[in-house]
Amino acid sequence: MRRAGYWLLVSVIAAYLLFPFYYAVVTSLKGGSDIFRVDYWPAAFDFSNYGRVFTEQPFARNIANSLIVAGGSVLVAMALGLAAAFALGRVRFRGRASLLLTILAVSMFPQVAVLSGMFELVRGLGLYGGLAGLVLSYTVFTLPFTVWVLTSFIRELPVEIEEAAIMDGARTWTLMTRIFLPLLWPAMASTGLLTFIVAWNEFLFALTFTLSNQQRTVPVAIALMTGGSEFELPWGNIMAGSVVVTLPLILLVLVFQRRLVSGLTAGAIKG
Amino acid sequence: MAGVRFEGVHKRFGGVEVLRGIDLEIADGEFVVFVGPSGCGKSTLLRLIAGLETASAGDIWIGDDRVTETEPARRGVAMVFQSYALYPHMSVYRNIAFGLTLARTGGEEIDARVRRVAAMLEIDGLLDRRPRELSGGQRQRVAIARAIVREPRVFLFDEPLSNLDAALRVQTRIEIARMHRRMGVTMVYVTHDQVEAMTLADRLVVLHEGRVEQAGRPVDLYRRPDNLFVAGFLGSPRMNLLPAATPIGLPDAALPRGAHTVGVRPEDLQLAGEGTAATVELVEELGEARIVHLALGDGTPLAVRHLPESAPAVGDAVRFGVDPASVHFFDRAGLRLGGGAAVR
Ligand SMILES: Nc1ncnc2c1ncn2[C@@H]1O[C@H](COP(=O)(O)OP(=O)(O)OP(=O)(O)O)[C@@H](O)[C@H]1O
Ligand SMILES: [Mg+2]
Repeated sequence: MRRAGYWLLVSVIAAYLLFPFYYAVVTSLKGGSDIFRVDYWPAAFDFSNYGRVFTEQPFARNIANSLIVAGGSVLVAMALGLAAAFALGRVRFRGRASLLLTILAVSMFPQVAVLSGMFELVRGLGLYGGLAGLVLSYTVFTLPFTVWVLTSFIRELPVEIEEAAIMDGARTWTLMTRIFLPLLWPAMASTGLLTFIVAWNEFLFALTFTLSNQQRTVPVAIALMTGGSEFELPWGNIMAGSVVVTLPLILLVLVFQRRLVSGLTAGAIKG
Repeated sequence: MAGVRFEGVHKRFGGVEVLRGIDLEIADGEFVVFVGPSGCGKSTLLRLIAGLETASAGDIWIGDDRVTETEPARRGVAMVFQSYALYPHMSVYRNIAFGLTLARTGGEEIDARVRRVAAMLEIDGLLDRRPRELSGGQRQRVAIARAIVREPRVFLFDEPLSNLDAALRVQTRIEIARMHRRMGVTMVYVTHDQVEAMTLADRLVVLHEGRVEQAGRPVDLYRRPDNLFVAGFLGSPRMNLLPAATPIGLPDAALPRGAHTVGVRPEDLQLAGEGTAATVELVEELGEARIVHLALGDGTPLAVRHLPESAPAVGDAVRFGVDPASVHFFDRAGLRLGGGAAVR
């Protein structure tokens, strides 16, 4: 009885979470005006929307842009985050605690509040209209969280392990790459994945800092899809595009699932 | 191989002076044990030799090299940490080899040295395991192997046995003593455990509040403590320390001028048919002996180590005797005035 109740609850939650995505899949498989009829089961399997989404706009290019931007943000955030976390977690210096708090506070500003400032920054650096500007702004937004998580992980690591490595002749670079990096790998996988997802889905900066369809990332490309006339939205294409770009995320999460869980909980238990 | 020398070493953490002028010479090949109460600076002193801390003042020498500012890896010292501090993500083999790899030793030489040390510590069957797949005793051996493989001039141990159970602790203690005999290398060892300290040390250094209270052969410190602190610190059960005027049956002539405190070890007192009267307060059974806690007429407590099987019962009125030659005397400042059994 209790098991039945448990499974019922799980199914309700799963259904609630998955329904929007499921409905997008169903809709993407419909052709023509069928789209405007409400169906809960796929009636036909019409893949023409998937073909059109790639032919009517540079959608492959948009996906590549998204991959570059999200991947670049992850790399930059990981490299800077690890170095910053090492300093904040291990090096004793004046104002360390307040610096850490400031970093956390930065990540709490709403995006719109920093939009104009970020715009000036991106333009001032000559990055306006390119992917590098997006990498920069996503890094600014995701780095604080990365630094915070990695710092708390580094603080959990016993100092004696580092001291043993120092006695063995390790310098800072060796410490980072041969001791910290492998030990922090679970934490890096989870923060990296979150950075990737944020960068992949981000809309506001991506809309503001790019000019042409060739430079757009996926969320903006989907939102700006236009149909045959001004008053017509190509819902089939939009749904097909959404499904296509969600799949990589699902795959990533499945691949990293165990890392993700161990990364988010590992700090709680001492091994 | 090399000795270690401290010259007027001070260490401050912020405003707190943790080491207050350490002058100490450790001879080449000597086994020196630091003991002292928690927080007295034992680990700090060890970490200064290792180079994990730098002295606020004074100099440290290893062999003929002044190493006060030398970085840890260039001092030729190796350290075994209390928590073992093995690299969790590396196999036992790579744990042992790590230092050699960083020193760019050749691959074949690394392999030969790792295997030789592993065989010596009987961990050659575990080389492919990760540290989390080892028992506490095995981790300890890996930690020691990692220290040995670098062939250091000086070995440092910071309470290496405190995470082991009692049986394993005794066994490992004996192995460390054996290792010292065989390698003849200088070892500096920190412990809380009196038995470890007494049995392992060629020379015992008693630290207290950042100063050396006394250094010497364990038996000398035990028999002729320089001051009240050492007298009270070494020995279990503790030496009885009483005001000089306490009537415990000492002839007046035995009391030196200026004596303020007398000290008698529990094993130097005997329950006998004659002597000073006292009441039994508590009897502790140790197996091979009993600690009988007495109260003198005025209530002063006194512990006696009692060997015979037939122990008095709580509340009994007993008498005890003392050999005047075994009594220690200390002046008002706590310094030794003389007395105590001569060292054989
Ligand atoms: N990094 C540090 N910063 C500030 N104070 C420190 C630091 N390391 C040690 N201390 C202080 O120095 C004193 C001596 O510490 P130390 O670790 O040498 O003691 P210990 O004799 O090894 O004690 P225990 O037997 O408990 O290990 C302690 O009061 C400790 O609080
Ligand atoms: Mg200590």
